[in-house]
Parts: sequence; C-alpha cells; structure tokens
Amino acid sequence: MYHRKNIAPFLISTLAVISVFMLSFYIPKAQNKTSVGSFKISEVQDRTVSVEEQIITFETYDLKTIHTIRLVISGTYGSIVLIPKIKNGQPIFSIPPTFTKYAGSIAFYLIQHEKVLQDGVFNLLPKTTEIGLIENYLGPRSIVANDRDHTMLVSIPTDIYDNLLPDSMNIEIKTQFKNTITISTKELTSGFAWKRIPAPLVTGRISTGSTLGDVSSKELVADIFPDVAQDFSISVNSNHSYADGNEIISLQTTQIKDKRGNIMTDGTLVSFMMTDETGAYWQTNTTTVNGFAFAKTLHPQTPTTWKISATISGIASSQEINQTFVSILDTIPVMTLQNRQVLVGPLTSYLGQLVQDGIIVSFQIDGATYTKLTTNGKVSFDVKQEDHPKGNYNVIIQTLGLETTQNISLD
Amino acid sequence: MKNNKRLYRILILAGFILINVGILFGIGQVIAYLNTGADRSKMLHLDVEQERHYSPEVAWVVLENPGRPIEAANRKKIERDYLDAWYIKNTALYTGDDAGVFNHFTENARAKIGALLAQQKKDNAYVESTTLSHHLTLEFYSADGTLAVLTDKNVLGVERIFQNERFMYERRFNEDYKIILLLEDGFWKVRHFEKTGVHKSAPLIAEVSIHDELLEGINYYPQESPWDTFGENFKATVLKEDFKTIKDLKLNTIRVFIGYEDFGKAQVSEEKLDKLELLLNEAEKANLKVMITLFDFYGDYRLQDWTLTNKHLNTIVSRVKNHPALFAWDLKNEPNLDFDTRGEREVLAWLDQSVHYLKQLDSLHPVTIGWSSPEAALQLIDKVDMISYHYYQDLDGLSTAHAMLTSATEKPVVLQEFGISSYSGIWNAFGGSEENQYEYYREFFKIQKRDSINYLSWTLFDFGEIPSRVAGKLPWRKNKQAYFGLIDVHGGENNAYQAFKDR
Repeated sequence: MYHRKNIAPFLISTLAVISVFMLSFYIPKAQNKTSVGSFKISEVQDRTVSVEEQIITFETYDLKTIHTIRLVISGTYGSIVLIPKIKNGQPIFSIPPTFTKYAGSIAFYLIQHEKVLQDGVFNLLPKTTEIGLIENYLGPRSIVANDRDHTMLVSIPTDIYDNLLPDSMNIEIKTQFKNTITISTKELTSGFAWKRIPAPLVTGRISTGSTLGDVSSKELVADIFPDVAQDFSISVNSNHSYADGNEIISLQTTQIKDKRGNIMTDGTLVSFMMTDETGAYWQTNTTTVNGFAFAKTLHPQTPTTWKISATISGIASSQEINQTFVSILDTIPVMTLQNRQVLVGPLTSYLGQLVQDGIIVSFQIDGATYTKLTTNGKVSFDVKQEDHPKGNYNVIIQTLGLETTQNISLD
Repeated sequence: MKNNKRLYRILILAGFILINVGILFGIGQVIAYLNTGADRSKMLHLDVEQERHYSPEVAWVVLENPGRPIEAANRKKIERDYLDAWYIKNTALYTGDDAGVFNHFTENARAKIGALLAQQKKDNAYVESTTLSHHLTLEFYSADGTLAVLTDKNVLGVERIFQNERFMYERRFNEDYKIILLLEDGFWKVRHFEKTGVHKSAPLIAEVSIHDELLEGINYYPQESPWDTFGENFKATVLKEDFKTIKDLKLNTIRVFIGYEDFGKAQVSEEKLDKLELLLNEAEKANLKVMITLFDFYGDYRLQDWTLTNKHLNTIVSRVKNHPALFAWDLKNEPNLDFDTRGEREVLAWLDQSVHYLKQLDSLHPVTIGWSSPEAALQLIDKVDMISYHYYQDLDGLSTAHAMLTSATEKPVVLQEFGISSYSGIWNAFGGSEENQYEYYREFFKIQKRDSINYLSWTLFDFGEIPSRVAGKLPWRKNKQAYFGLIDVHGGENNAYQAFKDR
C-alpha cells in the first residue's frame, strides 16, 4: 500500500505491453537468421595444466551470429568471459594461461543474450611429470625428550605451476637424529603427506626433509630439550662457621638431570631458600650451567642455624640442610662514659682481631633506641641533655647477638 | 615610504612565522610516521573491526582429524579468516582493487588473484559475487596448530559477470573446494585453494498446498503505532482487543509487517522476536491466522547484502515457523516499486533467492510476494506458492484483473491490499467520504462473492499520524493515507464497518 503510490506501475505495465508488442514482430525475424541449436562446442576433455592457451572448438556454429556468442568459464578464483575468435575460417575460444595454469574443475557456460545454450565441466589436472617444489612445515620446533612428546612434518609438494599433486603419489619423508636416519614412504592424500615424529629420549636436534622424484624440500630442524628435572641435592661450603657478618658462604647443587639422565638446559632457574631461627626467610636465585647451580650469600651477624633448600619452581627440589653459625665473642666489652658520650668497644673477633666495620650496635636508654655501625671496632653514642636530663639510667647495649645492661649516671 | 617599510616588516615577520610553522609541522609528521607500524597491541588483530558485512551460513560437518583436536576458539578463528578470504576475494573481483588480499592470501595465492585481476582489467570485466552457505570439513590440523586443510562442500553462491559495463550472465553455483590454510602473522591465510567439483544447483523445494478455506482478512497495525507494530507502544492487551474487533467482523486472517531495520537487520533483536511471538499468541487465542510480511522498508538487494538478509530471514523464520497461528510468509511488500531505483534484475534475483532460502527454512508454510499491481504479480509466478496483488484502482476492473491472474496459474490468488480513503478534507475536496467508502465496500463484496476472491483489506484503523517515510511529506498524500480504516481515530465505527458487518 504505502511506498509512495505513483504512476510508475502504470508506466511499467504500459511499457511492458509495448515491448511485448514490439517483440512479437522481432522474434520471428531473429529465428529466421539463427536458431538456438546452431551453436555447440565440442566436448571438452580433462587436460593437464599448461602455460599455453587452450583451444576450444565448435561442433556447430553460424558465422553470421557468432558475435553474439560468449563462453563464460569459471575456475577456482573467479570467472571470465571469452569472446570467440575466427581462426582459419573456424570460430574458436582460447582459454588464457591465467586459467590453464591452475588445476581444478572449470565450469563453462556457452551463452547468447544472457541465456545458456550449453554448459559443462572439465578438469585441469596437475602436471605430475614436472614437480616444482616441496614445501615442508615442521612443528612444534622444540620438543621434550620423553615418550609423550612429538613433532609433526607436513609435506606439500606442488607442480611447477604451484598446483597440488593428486592423491596416491608417494613421497619419502626422511628424518635424522644423531647417527640414525629414518626414511618412510607416505602416500599423498588431499595433496599433502604428514608424519608424526616421536621425540627421542636424549637431547639433541632432529633434521627432516622429504623427496618426491628428484625434487627435495629444504631441511627443517627441531630441537629436543631435556624432560622435567628430577630432585637433586645441595651442599654448602664456607671457610668457617662464625657469625661474623663478613664471610661468604657458597651454596651448590649436584648436576641436575631429567629421569633419563639428560642434563638440564643451561639457564634453568634454581632458587635457594634460607630460613633462620627467628623464622626470617629469604632467597637467592641463580641459573644452571651444565646442570650445576651455584649461589653465594653472606654469613649472619648473630649466631643462628639456617635451614637451606633449593627448588626449580614447581618441578624439582632438594633436601633441606642445616648450617649453624657460632658467635665471635662472649661478652660485650667495656662501655665508658665521657661527657655524655657512651663508648662501646673495641669489639674483637674470634682471633682477637677487630671486627670489620659496619657491625650493628644498638643502644637503649629510657625507652629510646639508637643504632650505629662500628668503625675500627668501636662505636659511640652521644646522649643529649635535652633528651635525657641529669640522673641515673639503665641502658641496654645489643650487638652480634649479645646483650648487656648497665647503669650509668648522667651529669 | 614609511608605510612600505612597515609592510615589509610585517611580511618578513609573517613569512618567518609561516616557515617555522611549516618546519614544526614537518618534524611532527616525521615523528608521527616513525611512531607508526609495529604496535604490540595490534599483534593479535584485536582491533580489526567486528561488524560483519558478510555472514553466510556455515556448518562444520566433521571436526575429527588425524592431526590434532581443534579448540573451539581456533575453529572460530579459522572460520572467520576463511570467510574473510572469500569476502576479500569477491570484493577484489568486483572492484578490481586487491585491498586486503595481502592479509588473507599467502604470496603464491596472491599471485593467482593478481593474474586474474589483470586478466579482468584487460577484458574490461568485473564479477559481482557472493556465497550463501558453506559446509566445512577439517581434514587436517597440524600438531603445532599452524596448518589446516579444509574441504568446503556444496558452496552455494551467485556470480554476475559484467563486461564493458554490460551484464553478461548470472551464475548460481554449487561447488566443492579444497583449501590449505597457514597461520601467518596472526591470520589464517590461504595457501592453496582449488575447486574440486561442480554440481547442479539445488532444485527448488516443492510447492506448499494451501487449505481451501476462503481467505477473508485485513491488514493490521495498532491504531497508536501505524507502521510500527513492534515499537515502543506494543501492548498485548491492545492486540487482544483489536483481534476481538477483527473476529467480530467474522474475518479469519490478518497481515502484519516486520521492518528489516526495525528488527535489527542481520542481528535480529530478541526483544522484537518476543513481541512477534506475543502477537502470534494473541492471534491464536482469537483464532486468527497471520500472514507475516517480511523485509519491510528494505531496499538494498545487492549481492553483497544477501548473506545478511538470509541471516535475518533465518533468525525470524526459525523462531516462529512452528507457531500454529502462522499462515503464510509474504516475502516483501510491493518490491516492483523498487525496480526503477534498484534495477529490475537485482530485485528479482534477490526475491528469487530469498524465496528459495525461505522455503529451505520452512517447507510447510506458503510463500508469497505482495506485488503492487495485478500485472506485476505475474513475475516469479512459478516460484511462489500463492499469488498476491494489490488493487487500488476502480472496482470495475477488479474482476478482469483477478481473472487474468487465476487463468495464469493454478495457485491461489490473493487480493492482498485494497481499499479507499474516506478523507474529505481540504486536500481532497472532491474525493472520498465515509459514504463513498461504504459504497466501495458494498460493491466490492458483491464482486468478491461472485468471484470467490481471497482478500485482505486495507486497513482496520484510521491513523492519527502517518510516518513521513511511508507516504512522503506532502499533506495530500499523508492525510489521504490516514483515512483508509474501518474505525476512526476516536474509536468510532465508520460506515464501512457496517459494510463488513453486513456482507
């Protein structure tokens, strides 16, 4: 109803009537000249692809009206319209190389004035006598040395015009690992052949390639990496066991391997974890070289026992070992008071030598705590008048895990 | 002299400023250029636009393959990229421009497309094409997930070939393909593509025979929402009352309209479908049959649009095809009025394929097309199950027009729209009146009884406001359009109502 009523329908119907009227005169004349059956192209055989133009000839034709005839051919990627040519007085269609080079089914339609006179299908077959190249695809490119993993090689050979080859041609798929070469013959299906290559149980590199006739593919390789690490053990090494805050302790693992004895890849991350008696926890990370991991850390300043273990996160771990550190002195030496300056030290170590600089000493007075680091085994605290007025105080001094309480009187 | 000096100063200063602006702009452009290119956020192509201009039906026939099981996400990605490859190729063959081909075809396959494009250019030809359905089998999916071999059987599609700007041939095809895809730069690109078989196009699905009860009905819009049945004002209670009114007139059928855009084009809105179902439910309660007119206000018809209209059709038809109140599908209202603007061939080709697809989706309900005149209704007469035409001319010619159609076909013929406006305002001083309308219907029912005409009259209500897109902005058209009803804007019965009652 809606859609803007106008006189268009009347015009159209009038025009239609007029054109039908005109056609009624036209059609008999046209039929005198030619009839629909007078054009027929010869049967088109399946043929091999070629870079040449392919000729299609007519079985019956009428040269007078040949210019109204077209051949539509439709290949894989699209269609084109061919115009007949006259060669030696005979009409022909020539299919351009754009179509004849590529394998596949070609549908054709012989048309005249938008109407189909004849249609059919022929196939262009790949040129199996001239192989162009073999494209190989290998993946995954890195696999693990166990009996579950594998990589896969897919070979797609093509003829010289880049057409897939027909099924049931044979292709040789070759793999090489260490000193073993495996050759297997596969049949092409849907234009390709494939092989699942199981992972060897030792690390290394697999090379692959394939050959069809005298054409070969490029070489593709896949790397075999060790399987997951097995548990390992650790040891510590230090010059002495004094808690001097100065010596370096070395931590090291045994050689880490998977269950078939393949050494872990260099760079595998190992974490050493340490816990002391107070429950403090810290870690140091390192990576393996040739399966071994080494780490270093500083001795503590206070006597304690560490629990040390190492892990490859989520995969493997070591046993736990204990490392005990002993104190370097028994009592905190002399504390003197001079002009509100509290002097601690000199602190001496296990040989009687001065402790190295930087040992922490803390000093508590009247609820306030002051912390300083030693220089030449000594440290001094200035007690200020305004903070701590004249009087007697109990002071606590702590260092190297020791503690002493003394009474001082300030002026 | 002094003025000149000042002028030179101004010119020199302005020139200096302009040169500086130019230099800064140039530097800016260089920096902007150097900053484009490899952007990590674009690696996964997540920014690629998501609106689909092409969505043919895709069915995965087989997914089991000897290589490796495929994950749903990868299957979708392969499907999308593969269809995009078709779309890009079709577009390239249509426009002659290889935009996008790089992203969807590997080097060797690009060369083949390039050769074809060159051939087309030489021939001064182009091809307009689309595919409508694909049936995919995953033949092989490699262990590392970067190579997939597909076969695509029974690819249904259409191709129109033009040469020297002249239409040459339209080809409906049904073909098989073999495809090898490689995952490169985040896209599944076509490496090998080969047509492996050509079948005859599927024959049209058998005709639907129609029950022999005479069709007596009316075109229906709610009074408050003309041309917008499923809009904001949609209320089941209103429908219930209106359907009762229609049933009181002893009518058995209504015709309703579904707007293509109103229902959301290819992405049909759930809400609208719910409303359509409610309408059908109310019709069923009132014992009325419903003829649904699809694609109202649709006017594109281009090949490139077919997959979208098919998707629209599929969603709507699948939802309501089993509803007992559904009587028939009217594919399109008055498509012949688009012949001038859209091209007769394009419109007919679209109708032809849409009828075909509709019959595939629903082989039980008859399909018709609402032609605007009896002459136009001769088109596609052997594709539809029922011939529908509209008649707004003098009733004297109705009998002849109807006989012309009934003699041309064995199929039922329906007078799908007819009526007269009772508008007697300033724009139509010598025109209609309620009395005229009454006489018109009295006369009509005489003819209808004699010739046993199936009819749907236009329309139940007079409307207050006619949307401009329906009848344009001209007041003499708009006002006339508003007064075709049996019931006036105040709910009172026009004389014509009585004509229906007394028939």
